[in-house]
Order: sequence, then structure tokens, then C-alpha cells
Amino acid sequence: MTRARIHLLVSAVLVVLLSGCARQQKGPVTIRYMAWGNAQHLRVEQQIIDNFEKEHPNIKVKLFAVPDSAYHQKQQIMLASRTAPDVMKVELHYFPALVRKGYFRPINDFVESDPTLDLDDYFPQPLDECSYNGKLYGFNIAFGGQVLYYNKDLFRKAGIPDPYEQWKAGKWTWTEYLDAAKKLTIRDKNGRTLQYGTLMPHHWTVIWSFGGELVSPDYKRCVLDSPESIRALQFMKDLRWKYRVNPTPAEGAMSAFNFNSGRVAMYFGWSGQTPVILEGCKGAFEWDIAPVPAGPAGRFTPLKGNVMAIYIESKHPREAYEFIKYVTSAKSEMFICGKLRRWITTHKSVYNDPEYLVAHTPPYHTDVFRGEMEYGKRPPINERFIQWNTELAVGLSRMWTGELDAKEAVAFMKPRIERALNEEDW
Amino acid sequence: MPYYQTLFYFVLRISNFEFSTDMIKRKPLTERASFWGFLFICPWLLGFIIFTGGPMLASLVLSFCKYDLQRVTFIGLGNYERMFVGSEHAYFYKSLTNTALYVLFSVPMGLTGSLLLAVLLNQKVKGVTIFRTLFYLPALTPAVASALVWMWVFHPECGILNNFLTMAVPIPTLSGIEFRPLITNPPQWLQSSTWALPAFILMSLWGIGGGRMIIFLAGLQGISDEYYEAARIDGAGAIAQFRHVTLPLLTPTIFFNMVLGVIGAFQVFTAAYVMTGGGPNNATLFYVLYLYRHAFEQFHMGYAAALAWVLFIILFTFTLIQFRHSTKWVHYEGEGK
Repeated sequence: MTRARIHLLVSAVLVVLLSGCARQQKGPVTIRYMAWGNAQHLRVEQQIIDNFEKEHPNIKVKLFAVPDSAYHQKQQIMLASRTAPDVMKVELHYFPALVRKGYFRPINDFVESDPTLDLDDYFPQPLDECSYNGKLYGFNIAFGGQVLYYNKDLFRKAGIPDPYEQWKAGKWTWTEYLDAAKKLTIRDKNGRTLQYGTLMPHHWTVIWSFGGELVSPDYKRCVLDSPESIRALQFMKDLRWKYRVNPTPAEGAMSAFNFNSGRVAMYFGWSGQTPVILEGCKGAFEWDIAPVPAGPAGRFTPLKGNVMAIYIESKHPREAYEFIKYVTSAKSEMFICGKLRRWITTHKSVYNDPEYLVAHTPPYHTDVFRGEMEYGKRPPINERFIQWNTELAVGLSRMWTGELDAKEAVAFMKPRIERALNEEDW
Repeated sequence: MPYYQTLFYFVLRISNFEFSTDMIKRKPLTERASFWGFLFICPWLLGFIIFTGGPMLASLVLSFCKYDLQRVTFIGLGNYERMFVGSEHAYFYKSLTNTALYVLFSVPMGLTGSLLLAVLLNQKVKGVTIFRTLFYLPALTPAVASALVWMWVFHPECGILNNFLTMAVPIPTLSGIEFRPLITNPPQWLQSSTWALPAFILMSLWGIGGGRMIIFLAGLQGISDEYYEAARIDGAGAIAQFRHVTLPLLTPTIFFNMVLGVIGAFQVFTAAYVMTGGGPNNATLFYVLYLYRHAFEQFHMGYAAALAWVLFIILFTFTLIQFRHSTKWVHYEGEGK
């Protein structure tokens, strides 16, 4: 080949290569998104992604789902091995511990330079949960509290007024709850239980409503040994072992008694579970929701969300930010929280919109969702939450099996919880 | 014998004979037999070093460090101290006790069961091959699937085990024959901290028809009929034949199954992970489950490596004791004992 031909060939190759590079920059950006959920939740996620891609044609989102039980481990391994996706849902229980290790990218710079974002439209608690050390690390997703799901048919059959009606009439406390549960527990002549009145409420709900607390505000001491907390825990234990309106762990093993089967009249669940229950009951019985019962210190329900965070080493942080902004925007939340009834909205504009309360499928008592904001309380979650909550769970389970009384269980748990709270990470 | 013992044996043989004589004769490298031997095992040796030996060494080093997949910090005997006397010692000894109890009961029962099953399947009965296949089927079922089914068997209310135990049977009483259940208060199995471990031991019995039974069967078929004939001539009945002919000649097989059985039983994990996740109040917290928790749920990799090496030393000691003790009761044929 002559020298001229060689020069021509080389320049042709370079032109092709460089033009290829230029085309890459203008082409669609793909970001990876990791989420948990069953098939139904994932269908909703995919719907949101499709809507997002229509509005932002240059961004493609690749969703990959991880089963609930393996989600946190997989997420931690991906974060530690630096293969994490651009956007991921982080469960609030794990968020403080992970954000401390510097895995997530703060979005303050994007938020400040974004003219379309109205931070004032968000309620303070959801944004607070996504912050750490003064920096915002994402937007809140799957925000919700605990409500009482109840089987309307069973209540009607037993001739007891609805929990919702009782609440509306102004009298829905643990006393009325226990009364209803006793009437709704049916046993046959051999003593075998055919129907149980209730499943166990969340310990946060009960402890707070009796005026107790779990840990001190500085997260250094465990304050479960206060008389109010012990009374609350004893009440929970008595539900199962004294009043017998709640299945024992043995009887309830492997969901032998669960709400969807129609064998339990009352169930305490997160507000985000409504579509799961809707699909699970398949219209076999009528059900709806009511607020959790009030205790001597008032009505409280745990109210928390999760963080949709951006990985710190993501190559497309701006596109990731656009995505998380879209998923948690007022429009998306009107669709998810309003129509699908999955979560509680974090936007004031949606909360005050009457459209938010319109329901075409159960649950129809949508004012309960509004009420959650009023008596919802933020659970005590800090960097050592997983460790001390494990100790709490072990102690509680010794109560649920009937082995220990509340006072003994607290005496067993308290030193362990305090050790877990104050221990160094190892 | 395990493969590395074979390799060592091979290396020793070469080095004792060809290698030294080849060196003495000062042959060039490519003409020595040892060179070609090493060359042919090179691929396996490389694989062993890269995928087994190297990681084992790394794990030993990590057991003296704190490693959470991000940073490695040398902490000396910190992990071992935490394990034996430190903050984790209660869980460590609990998991060790649970595992030891499991091994203590499941291995002898399993061996006896497999042996009796093998003797049964060694009979010249019509269709014995079909029976052998059927009895081997439990070994083919996936561990997780069978664990899930066993969870239902052990369910305190709807499980077939408790239904069987509370079955109404005719019991003769003073007022005549009455139908009453055998046991009115059946154990709560996986929900009770006293009965969860026995539940696992019972569950291990369903594995008696597995590989161990096949090996016993092979051992039984290796006993020549002449011994039985001689015993019969001397007037031995079936049980005496079993005691004086079968068992002594089977001791090598029993020894093999026992060594492997102990090593396997110490590593019980899948069933506990699926069924109880550590059990009511840590009643079924087995050693490997405890290790898994620290390694993959809490990312205490250094501590988990230390746990793994402690398990290795325990198993090594047990195996050594068994080997030393075996000379007293294992009769190998052809050794003129």
C-alpha cells in the first residue's frame, strides 16, 4: 500500500471510531434500578417505569427485582463489591447504617438547582428520614403506617359494630378491641379453634399507646422497664395466653391462620399491603380498614417510609435523580397512593386533594389514611437498629411462646439491648 | 482415600524411588520420571492451589483480621477471644452444644438404620432392585424442598405427626374399651425450644436410605458366602451369623461411614436455615448456621473465618481420634488379624 492509501485508511478508521463515540453520548442512557416486591408490586413498578420512559425518551430504566428475603444481603454485597445499581430502594431499618459507610450520593446539589422541584410540598418527616448529617440522600418511597384490617362479614355475623363505626362514634380503644376479639374467637366442642379474633398488633403501636418507649432519645439506654411499657407488653402477651384471642406460634405456624383465609377477624398491617390483601382474598369476604385502637396515652401508629437512593459511584447521577424525582412526584403518588392504595402520600398537595380519597375498590375508609398522618409516630431507627432490634425480637419471642412474663422478658432483654446499642461495630 | 492423600502418596513414591535414583544418575530433566509425573498433574495442582489451597490460606489469615468486604484490619487473636470468652461466647457454645447433640444422636441412629436397611435390601427377594431404588429416593430430593415438606409434617396442629400421635385408639379401661388419643398434649415440635432439636434428629432419619446405605450394601456384598456357610455348619442362626460374620467383616465400611457421617453431621445447615432460622430461642442454632449469619448477614468475615477454622480443628481432632481408635476394632481383610 502506498503511503497515501495508508493515511486514508487510518483517517477513515479514526472517523468511524470517533463518530461512534459521539453517537454514544447522544444515545439513551440506561440506569439500573433495584427493587423488592412480589409479582404485583413489580407490575406497578414496571408501569411507572414505562410512564417515566415516555416522558424522558433519552433515559432507559432497567428494573431488576430481588426476592424480599434475600434483598438486604444482596444489596449489601453489591454495595461492598462496588457493583450496585444506580438507583435502589433502601429499607429504612438499614439506611442509617449504610449511609454512614458512604454508599449513597447526596442530592442536595440537584435539588437546589432544580426549578421544577418544590421542597415545601413534601411533609417534613419523609424528607427527614432520607437525611443524614444534614444532607439529603434521596426521596421517600413506600411511606406508610399501620392500620387495622378487619373482616366485615365476621363482624356482621357476630353482631358487633365495625371497628370503623366504633372509631367514628369516638370509642375505639384497647378495651373495645379486646371485647370484639373475644366475641370473634370461635371454638368447636373439642376446643379446637375455628376462628381467631385477631392477630398480634405491632409492639411499637401498643407500647406507645400505653405511654411507654423502647429506647432513650439518645439511643443509649433501653427504657422498656418503665411501668407503662411493661403494662403494654403484658397486654400483648395476655392477648395470646390469657384471653386466647390470638393464635399461639404453634397454631399460627406457616400461616395456618391468616387474614386472607377468612379465619381471622382483625389484622394489623402496613397500609401498603392493601393490594396484596385485595388480591389474596379474591372477593371471598368483605373487608375494610380502621385506625389502630387507642390506649391510655392516646392513639399512635408507626409511620415510616424507605429511601430511594442513588449509588455514590453511579455514572449517571443526574438521570438517576430525574428517575427518583419522578417516582416520588405528586403525579406518581396520586396514581400509586390514590388509585392503587399502596402507600401514604408524602406530598401535601396530594394529601389535600379530594381525588386522593376516592376509592373504587376496598378499602373504602380512605379517611383512615389521612388519619395516619395525624397520629403517626416515627419509629426509633438508628445505625445500630438491626443489632438491637434482633435482641428485642429474641426477648419478645420468649414472651410470645408463653415462656416468660413481660417483666421477666424485659429483664432478659434490657442488658442485651443496651449492649447492642452501645457496642462498637465489629 | 481422599484425593490429597492419594497425591501425597504418589509424590512420596516417586520421590522415594525414581526421583532420587534419577538425580543420582544425573539424568537431564525431561528424562526423569518425576518430571513427567508432576507435569501431568499440573492442571489439577494449579486448580487446587488457586481454588482451594489459596483461599484456605487466605481464610486463615483473615481469621486474624476484621474484614467487612471493604477494609481488612489486623486484630490478632481478637476473633478467637470474642468466640471463646468475649461477647459472642454464649452463642458460640450454644451452637456448639446444639451441633454436638445433633451429631451424638443422629450419627449412631443413622448408621444403625442404614446398616439394617442394607441388610434388608441384601436379601434375595423378588423385585429387590425396585426396592433398592425406592429406598434411595430420599437422597435425590432437593434439601430445601424436603425441608419445607417436613415443616408441614411437624406442624403442631395440622401436621401428620401430631395427628398420628393424637389418634384415638382403643384403650382398655375400667369401664370397658374406650377410644382415647395416645397422647393428649403432643409436643409443639418446631415451635418449642425443647422439641425442636429432637425434631431435627428425627428428620435426619429419613436420610438413612441414602448414599450410606448403598455403601453398606456394597460392603455386605463383598462378604463371601463361604463365611456364612461355615457359620451355618457350625450351627449359627441368623442373629449369630450377623454378630459373628457380618459385623466383623463389615467394620471397615462402618468405620468409613462413621468418619464421613460425623463430618457431615457437624455441618448441618440447610434444614435449620429453611425450617427454623435458628430455632425458638436458639434451640436449633447449629454451628454452620451461626457461621453463615456472621458471614453473610452481618458481614463479619474475619470472625466467620475464625469460626470455620475452629470447626476444621474440631473435625480434624475427631477424625484423628477415630483413626487412632480404629486399629482396635476395624478388621481389614488380608492383614492376618
